[in-house]
Order: sequence, then structure tokens, then C-alpha cells
Amino acid sequence: MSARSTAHSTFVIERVLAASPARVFAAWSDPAKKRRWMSCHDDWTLIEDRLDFRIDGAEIRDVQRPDGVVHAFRARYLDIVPDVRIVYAYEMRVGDARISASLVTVELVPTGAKTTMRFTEQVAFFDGHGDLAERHHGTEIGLDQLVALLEPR
Amino acid sequence: MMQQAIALERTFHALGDPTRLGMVERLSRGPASVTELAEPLTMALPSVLKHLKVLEEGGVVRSEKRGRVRTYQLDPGALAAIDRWVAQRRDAWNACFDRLEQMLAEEEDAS
Repeated sequence: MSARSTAHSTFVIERVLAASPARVFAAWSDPAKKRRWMSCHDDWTLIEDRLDFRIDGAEIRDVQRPDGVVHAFRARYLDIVPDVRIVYAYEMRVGDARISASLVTVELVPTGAKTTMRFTEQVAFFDGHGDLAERHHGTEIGLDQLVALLEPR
Repeated sequence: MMQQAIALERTFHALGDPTRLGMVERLSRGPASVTELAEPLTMALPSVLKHLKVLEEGGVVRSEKRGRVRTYQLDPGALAAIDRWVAQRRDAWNACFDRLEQMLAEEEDAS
């Protein structure tokens, strides 16, 4: 595909988790713990999984689909405040195609005995490659996406 | 998927031009006739029609002729792609967070 294009979007996922901020933070910072909940797709093969959880540290995760195509995740940690905030930038590649680049902010807020985890991803999708990573069906479109698309970039 | 990719490429091409983007911006406020779309532009009508044709082929707009007036409006379906990608990614994260929740519950049981 030769067309060059960028499409931006931001989405937020908020979860109330039955654990203290410290335990939720550990689930992100401890490589063994993180692997337990990040690994999906039982039929995909984990080729490489490295997490250097510190500011300026990198994370690499390569997984191979049953058809041989590799999904590569590359991240760099930009800000870490223990039990409070994690900020990282990451890119996704599928085969040779660069799918997207994102900035992720994870905020942990104590909520009674629980923790509200607020996950914000600001993403730029490249060259219409988003469909390469498609695994689920999407939703109906709203015109607000158009407005986002028209925003000065 | 290839056909979908080609369609997407056409959509992105259609949107990758300032004049056409201006037309889309105008149409995001409501349907407009060719004359209305041409009015703010300093180009001949055939050029305006050419741009509109690219937008229509890219699935960004659709047109309808009523009497002698052709009216253009946005085709919301054209922009489903980015919405779909975001929905996919959101789904993937939610699946991860489901497992996170489960892991935290298991830790709790173990302690």
C-alpha cells in the first residue's frame, strides 16, 4: 500500500480493581506478573518478552500468529511514579507494516479499599494499516470521528 | 481484506488534499449543493466537480440529484475504519484487563 496517511484518536478505559494501588502497580512493573495478564491468544507464540521497568527503560514483546506473521510491540517508559502513574510510548508492527504509535498514561487512584485504574491511549494509526491488526468487529461510526480526523495536525 | 485495504487507500487519498478536506469540513456542517461548495473556492467548476468525484469515489461523500441541483453530503460509513481500529484496540486492552482482574483476585486468594 503506497498511500501515506495518519489518523489520530484517543480513548480511555476506566476499571475499578479490587486491589490496592500498590498491587495494581506491581502488576504493571513486575515482568512475571505482567506476562500473566498481557499474554493473550493461546495459539500465538511468544518469541520475545523483555521488560526493563524504569524511566527510559524499554519493553519488547514479539508474538507470532499461527500463520507466521509477527506482531511486534516496542515501548519506552517516560514517567513512573510508584503506585500513582505510568506513562509510556509504544509502537505496533505487524509483519513489515508499522501500524501505530501511541502515548499511554495509566493512572491509579485509591478508591476506598479498591483502585480506579484509568488507562488513556492517544494513538496515531499509520497508512490505513489498522486493519492488519483486526481481530474483532468494530462499532458503528459517529461523526465525532470525522471531527477528530479534521483537527489540525 | 485486500479490497478493504484498497477502499481505505482511496478514502485516505480523498482526504489527503486541502481543498477536499475543506469541502468535507463544509459538509460536516450539513449537506450542500455544488454551487455552495464552489463558492469559497477560487477554481473553475470542472475542477470542483473533479474534487467531488474523488471524494465520492473514496466513499467520503455521496450525492443526490433533485431537479437540476446536485446535493452532496457526508457518507458516515467512510470513516468507520479508524473507529473500527480504536474499537479493536479497546477490546484487546479490555481482554487484558479482565485477566489482570482475575490475576489480582487469585493473588488475594493465595495470600
